[in-house]
Amino acid sequence: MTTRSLPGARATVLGALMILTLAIGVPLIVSAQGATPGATPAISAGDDLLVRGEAIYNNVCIACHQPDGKGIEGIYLPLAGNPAVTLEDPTYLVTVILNGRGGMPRFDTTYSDEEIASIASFVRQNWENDAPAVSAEQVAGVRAIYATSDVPTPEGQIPAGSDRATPEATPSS
Amino acid sequence: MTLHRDSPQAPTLGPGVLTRRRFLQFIGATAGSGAVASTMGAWGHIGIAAQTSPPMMDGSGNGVKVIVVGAGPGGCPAAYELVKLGYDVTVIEARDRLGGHVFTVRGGSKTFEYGKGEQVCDWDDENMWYDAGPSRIPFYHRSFFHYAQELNIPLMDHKNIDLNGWVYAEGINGGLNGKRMRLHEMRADMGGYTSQLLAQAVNQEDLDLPLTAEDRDVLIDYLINWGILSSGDLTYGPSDHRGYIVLPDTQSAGEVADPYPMQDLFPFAASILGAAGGYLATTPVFDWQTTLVKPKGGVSELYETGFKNALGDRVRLNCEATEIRQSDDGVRVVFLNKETGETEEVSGDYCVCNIPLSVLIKLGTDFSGDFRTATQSVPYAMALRTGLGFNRRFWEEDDWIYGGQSFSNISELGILAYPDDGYGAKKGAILGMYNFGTDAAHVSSLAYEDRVQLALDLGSKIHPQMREEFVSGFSVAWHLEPYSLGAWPSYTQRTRQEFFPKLQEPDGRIYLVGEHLSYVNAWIEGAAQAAWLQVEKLHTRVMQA
Repeated sequence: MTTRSLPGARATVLGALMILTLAIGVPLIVSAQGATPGATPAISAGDDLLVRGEAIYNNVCIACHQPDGKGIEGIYLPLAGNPAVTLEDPTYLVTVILNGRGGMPRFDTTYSDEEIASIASFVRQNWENDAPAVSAEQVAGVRAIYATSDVPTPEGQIPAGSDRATPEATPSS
Repeated sequence: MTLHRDSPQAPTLGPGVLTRRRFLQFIGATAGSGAVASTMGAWGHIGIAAQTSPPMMDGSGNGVKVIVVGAGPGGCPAAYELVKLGYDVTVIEARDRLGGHVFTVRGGSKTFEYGKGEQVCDWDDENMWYDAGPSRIPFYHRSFFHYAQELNIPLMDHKNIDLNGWVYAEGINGGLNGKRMRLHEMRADMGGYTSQLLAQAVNQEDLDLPLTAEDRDVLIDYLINWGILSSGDLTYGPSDHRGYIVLPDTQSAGEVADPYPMQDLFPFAASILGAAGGYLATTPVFDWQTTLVKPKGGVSELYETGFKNALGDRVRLNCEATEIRQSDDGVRVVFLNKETGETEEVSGDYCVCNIPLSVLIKLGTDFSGDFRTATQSVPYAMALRTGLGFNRRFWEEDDWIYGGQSFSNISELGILAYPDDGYGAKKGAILGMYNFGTDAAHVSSLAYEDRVQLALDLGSKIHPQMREEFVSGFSVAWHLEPYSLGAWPSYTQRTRQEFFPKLQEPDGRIYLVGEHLSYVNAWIEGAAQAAWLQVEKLHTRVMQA
């Protein structure tokens, strides 16, 4: 399932992947930890999962991300059409829901693996988004990464275009 | 031993900065560890407060220029102490008021939330106000008492518990589902029944308990008094501890009711304690134990009167910082002057930044990699407070509740909190809703007016007369407020270990202050403690330069 690599090894793996990317010109999902890159989880993205995810989204997430999934520019990230949401590897998305980030609250102690899988699956498949659903097992795997305090944030996973880039947006009044 | 820094007896240790730690070392070297302990005790180090007053420091900032970004509970004391130390201080504040997260709402108060627009309070009476942010200060948050005294801010009592307040539970088993009762009824009856059960069990000598015969006797004595039991058969029964249904007067001694049936009360009380155990356990959590206080007229008074008068025109309101830049020689804060629409900047030698992390990460900054990562790695929590204004203080006139709170098991509602002043006045306002997390998110997705209506709907379960007297309401969701983007940080053990120490250290010439820089999160005390910590660091550095 998931293997946990040491920070130094991860840097080496990243370095190797980057060289490989340049060499063969194929964009690779940079993922040193988490689910096997590119694997489609062996669950059915059935009605239950998406219905549950939609219910949670409409109850909680719309406050910031808005019913249309477009967020508020510069303040709350859009989910509709956001490449960070629809990466084939959902680890970054699940990490943000679990751990929070700035104004985005953490939900690790609020929701179960199943509930977080349902939220993640819903946002990945609603509006114009079309990405594989997320399983509870995948969520559990991401949780496990943060279970001990000595594992640093896997920065290499955060793709360009997310708010990880140098923030320049000014809060609008 | 005189400890005040201005005292002629206050020892100095030669040139340089006299810090509290150096002073203690001096005492220890001359008079031994016992003297250190008693000094620390005098300072309140042992037991309760870590620090009761700002750090004792000598020397002058000599006009070194510090830009303080944010006139909040961290920025205000930091600016104030720096001014006292001789620094040239400018405070850049985005809002039209001081206090930051401290926000006493009264007639004319305004707020804005993303996706919801502007909100203006139309209350028209001096007795109508509520705190949409911090609303109470525990007795052991000494920084508050220090500044209230120094800045001449009169204080008033804050009650969490009024025994005549209501408790209400729904969605439970038993005959008390959907009913309200007075807190004194629930407390007397639950204390009574549990004491009765325990006393009767302990009284059976054949039960295998880790108690000697003498232990049993004294415990039963205690329970008779605690649980208001009959000393004969150790049963709980009616008494005036649980209140009267007919009060004594010239005609009769009054009448008390029978306790609620055990099987009805247990699910009711269990549900209430599940919702509000922090307040209603045998003893409240330490933060909520009497005595609590607040400034007369609301917590904003400390900032909008106290610090505002002290800092004067050093504070520039309506100036929204957009960039905090630094070089080897100094700092530069770029801001939008909201009154003119112009972009301006101000330069200085150092920056003390009171902006919450959730907002700070949106600004243009030059933070170093590790520091930047730390600022991005701590999420913020959601909280929402709705105030309701009334033409008549029905909770006093009808229900005889003066201050304190009512409790329910409706998580969307949270507590109702009544004003602890203005007793007997005609008009008043209450905190009509206080929720967190997913409840706060859900309610915040509603328009302001819909949130107010929801508060009335839910509050009417406790006070059926609520709508008759209603004037208007005001609601603040802190995660939607542009200069807060959250109520307080949510640290985990991991993020404390990994990121918190980095945030407490300056990044170059920039020092962060705020409750997020302490373990006393969500309290103004944490922000003041952080301000003292960072001012001490900054001044030490300047003096050694």
